[in-house]
Amino acid sequence: MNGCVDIHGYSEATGSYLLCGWAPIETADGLPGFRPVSLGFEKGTASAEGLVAHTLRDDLGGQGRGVAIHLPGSDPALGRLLFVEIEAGDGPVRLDSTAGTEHTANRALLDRMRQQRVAPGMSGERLRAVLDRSGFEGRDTLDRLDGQVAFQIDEAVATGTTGLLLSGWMLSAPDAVRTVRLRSGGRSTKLAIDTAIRLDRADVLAKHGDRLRSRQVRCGFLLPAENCLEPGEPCFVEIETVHGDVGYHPVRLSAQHGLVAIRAALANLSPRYDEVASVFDRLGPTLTALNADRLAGKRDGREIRFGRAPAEPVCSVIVPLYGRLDYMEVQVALFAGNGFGDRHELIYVVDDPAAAGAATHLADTLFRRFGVPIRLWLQNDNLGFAPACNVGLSLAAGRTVCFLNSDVFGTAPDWLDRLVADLDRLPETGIVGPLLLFEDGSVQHQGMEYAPLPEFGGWLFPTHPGKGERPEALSGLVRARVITGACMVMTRELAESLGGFDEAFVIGDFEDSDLCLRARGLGVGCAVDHDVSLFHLERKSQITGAEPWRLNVTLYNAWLHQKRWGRRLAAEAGVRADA
Amino acid sequence: MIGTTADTLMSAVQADGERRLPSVLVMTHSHPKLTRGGAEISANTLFRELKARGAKAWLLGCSSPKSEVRLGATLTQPYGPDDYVYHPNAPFDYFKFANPDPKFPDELAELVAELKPDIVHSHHFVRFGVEMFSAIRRGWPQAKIVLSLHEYLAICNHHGQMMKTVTYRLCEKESYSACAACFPQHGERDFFLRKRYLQMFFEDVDLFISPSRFLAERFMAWGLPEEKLAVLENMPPERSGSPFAAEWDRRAMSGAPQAEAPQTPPKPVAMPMFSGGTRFVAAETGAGSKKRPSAVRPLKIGFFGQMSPLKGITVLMDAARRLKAQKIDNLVIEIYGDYSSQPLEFQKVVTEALEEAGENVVFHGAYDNSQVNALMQRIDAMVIPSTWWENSPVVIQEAFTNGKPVICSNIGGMAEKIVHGVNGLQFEVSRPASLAEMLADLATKPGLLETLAAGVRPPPTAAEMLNRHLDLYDAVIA
Repeated sequence: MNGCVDIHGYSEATGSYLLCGWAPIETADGLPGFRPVSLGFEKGTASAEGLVAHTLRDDLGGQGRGVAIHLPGSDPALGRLLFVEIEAGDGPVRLDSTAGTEHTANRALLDRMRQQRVAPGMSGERLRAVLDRSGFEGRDTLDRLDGQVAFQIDEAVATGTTGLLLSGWMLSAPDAVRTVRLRSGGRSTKLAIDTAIRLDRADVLAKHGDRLRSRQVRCGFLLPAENCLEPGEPCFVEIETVHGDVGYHPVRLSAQHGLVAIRAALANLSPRYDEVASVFDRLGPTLTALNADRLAGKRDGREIRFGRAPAEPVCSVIVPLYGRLDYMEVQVALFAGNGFGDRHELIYVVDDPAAAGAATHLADTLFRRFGVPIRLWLQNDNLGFAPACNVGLSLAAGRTVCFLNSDVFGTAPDWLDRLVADLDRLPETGIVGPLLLFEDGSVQHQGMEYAPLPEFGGWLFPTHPGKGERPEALSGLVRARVITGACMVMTRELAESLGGFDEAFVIGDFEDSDLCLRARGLGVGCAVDHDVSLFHLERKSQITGAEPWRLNVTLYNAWLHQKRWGRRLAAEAGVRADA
Repeated sequence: MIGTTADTLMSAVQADGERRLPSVLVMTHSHPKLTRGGAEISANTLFRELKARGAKAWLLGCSSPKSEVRLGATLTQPYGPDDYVYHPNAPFDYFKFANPDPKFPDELAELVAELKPDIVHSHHFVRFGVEMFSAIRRGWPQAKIVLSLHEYLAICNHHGQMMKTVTYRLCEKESYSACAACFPQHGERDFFLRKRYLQMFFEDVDLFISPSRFLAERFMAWGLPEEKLAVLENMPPERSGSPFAAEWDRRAMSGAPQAEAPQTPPKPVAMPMFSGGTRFVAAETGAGSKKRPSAVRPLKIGFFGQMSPLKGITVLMDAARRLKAQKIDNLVIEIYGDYSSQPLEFQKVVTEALEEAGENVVFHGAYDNSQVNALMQRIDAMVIPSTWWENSPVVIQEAFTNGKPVICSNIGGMAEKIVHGVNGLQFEVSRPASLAEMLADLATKPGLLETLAAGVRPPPTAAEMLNRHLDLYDAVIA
């Protein structure tokens, strides 16, 4: 025989499903306390740990006992309630929803619940405390927790419409906290702070450690939470102590978005060795979402043409511009003469809205000074290397395209014609690049290989064999496993079939390796023409000495690259995969 | 062509009538009517001498901030039909000498296409921008392009001095890392690009003229091709108003011996800058160097020029102090120059040194360049104690014009022009003790001054220098 549900509904103030009813007398004794509770609805089941207490009922004639339940969680919204099942020591106890069962919510529900006479005992006391809660009123009420918990959210960055990436810290007296939940409208999401990505916060420990009797220096956390935001509703954290006390901490969504938000999220993270994989396995999907949000629909801009580029160019040279513009002056000066402008087109993609004015002025003077026609694309947003290259590709009219960094400078005037000729001569070489030299004449790039970096999860990172050394006495086209995106030439058809660079890679690394590896799927490989050399004034490596956020972006890209290619590359001959 | 001064080039035909004169566009970074620096003066003399010889010549100089701007006009002709002024339309890039002015290349190309000069001889690339050479090439490909080098500016970002920025030590050779160390705001890559940019445009230059072998060698080490370098002094400054110049010119042309200096006592043109001391200019009664009776009046050593650290004024003052301490009292250092444009801190240093100097230092203050020959006639020898390399200081030519030997630092362009013991003496750069020793020798060794004065050869006249320029033009056209 089953019991019965009299009243039920969801209360936003308590962040829980509240019910009262009765259970048959023979099953009722073992119910009070924290029990696994399932609610069976028409469209599904909601399960969580609930608080069950007895209520005093005069109307049951000794056949049953009153029961009240507090079940924290989101508003299930799964249709009509059918039954409730409480997991007790002797097996499940079931209460049915009947025609007489009343459904109500919020204040009315709380009023009805408070009218119940809760039986004495700890479970009853706890339930009374829950029902007495005033609910979140927009203020921080963590001071109610008797100084047991110190907590703060530093940044809450929205991911998609309902997700959040939370960074903050929590320090508490040992075993003081029962649960931490993120609440928004009808949603209540348990925050597993213990298993979040933990960060050292010595500053927090120094301030609160003694008072809270804690020595936990890793009290910072970075925590992606999905489906936790009710759009338009306020958001707060609810912390419940083991004594049933509850305090609230308002969460303000960060005004930051896009790259700034990614940067903020990655600012305090410095995983090494074994931590790297576990951090990015948790964080990676959120970063992917943030990056996709960042790029969604953002391709607006405008083109200004200086001079008339040929209608059917042999090659479209695509140069993304970000930061320093003065390199452009030297680059264009080096393109001058030798009929470059009659054969090829030069497309600069200004990926730096703040520099649009200066770039326009410079392009104007460069065209008029050097006579090289320039197609200048001014992007409305800063998107990063891959999207900027892809925008350039969408503009390109050339039979071939050359992706070129702004800090790569020609030596011989015919270098581009020679790389294009390589492609024409050897079609199975899909992507060809030059020998790249540093300013002192040593090798910057002659094709890329891979090597695992133990401090970075043992993932495979592209390497530049021979870098910094004098060039070997090689000549002609030499096959390479992959080549750098600093200067690569391919047919436009190939570039378009590959969809350009994968924009999932943030800012600019690994996308060149990824593109070359994807090109293999279309049956073409890479090569370096050692007879064609250019200077590449490569910026200092991001892997050392960079700001932490930038290094973490590189690690994110490495994570993506590793997931996609790690196993296949490790199986290739000549790739040393073990760190 | 380095190692081949113009003297040894076949000076084919001296007579004007037999010589086909090339047409020359002379360019200078500042119009000579507006400023009077060394490059402007050389350019102007060259232009004037070419015209005087009957050659077709034009002058193109940059405007000054005070120039009248004609709205929308890039090139104007305020001074006459063969005389052009360029008004830059954009702030100049003094790091890699790029001229962002979008109008200039076309304007310059059109001008040379119109003038069709055989030679474009530029006395600088600043303000025009090094891109000028490709514009000339584009506008009138037949023109040969000649560039006079006036200092180490293309090599060294430190005002072309090849001195370290902080320590002011002499720099022997540029490198990306050494230059970046001098200029922490620029990286090695910036210096790489700077050099690439300059050399890329220098490729269009057919001949570089260096006024000293030393400077030419520095540019060769920097990467200019040997066969494009020639050593030839700048055109000499105007000598009008000098009673001696005509004499020199006559002697130089005829090989006659030096004339006696006139006896009229010249006056300094400026008063000393302070009047508290006792070192006013004494009324002049002396005569030319050869008349100096060493027992009668002390030896006069002249310093002419800016009283700056680079010109070695403190080295000189220190040497004077040492001479006084050694009780060598038959020698007076006469300073013609100015330090009012020096940094305040250094002005204080010079003022104090002058205050403390003994009677063997006489400070005359600034002088007008038109008086330089007259003033030099009053002294016995010149001192050039520069602490930097120098290029080919014009004061050497002026000293030689006046038959005066020169005591100079033993480096760079100075050391090249002064042969120790022949037409002057060399001392160890930046070492006052070494300078004091040389001056003491001069004051105490009988006959030394006379020997050195006899060793001075007159510099070529403007007409001779023009011939040498024409020889070089012929060689480059051929």
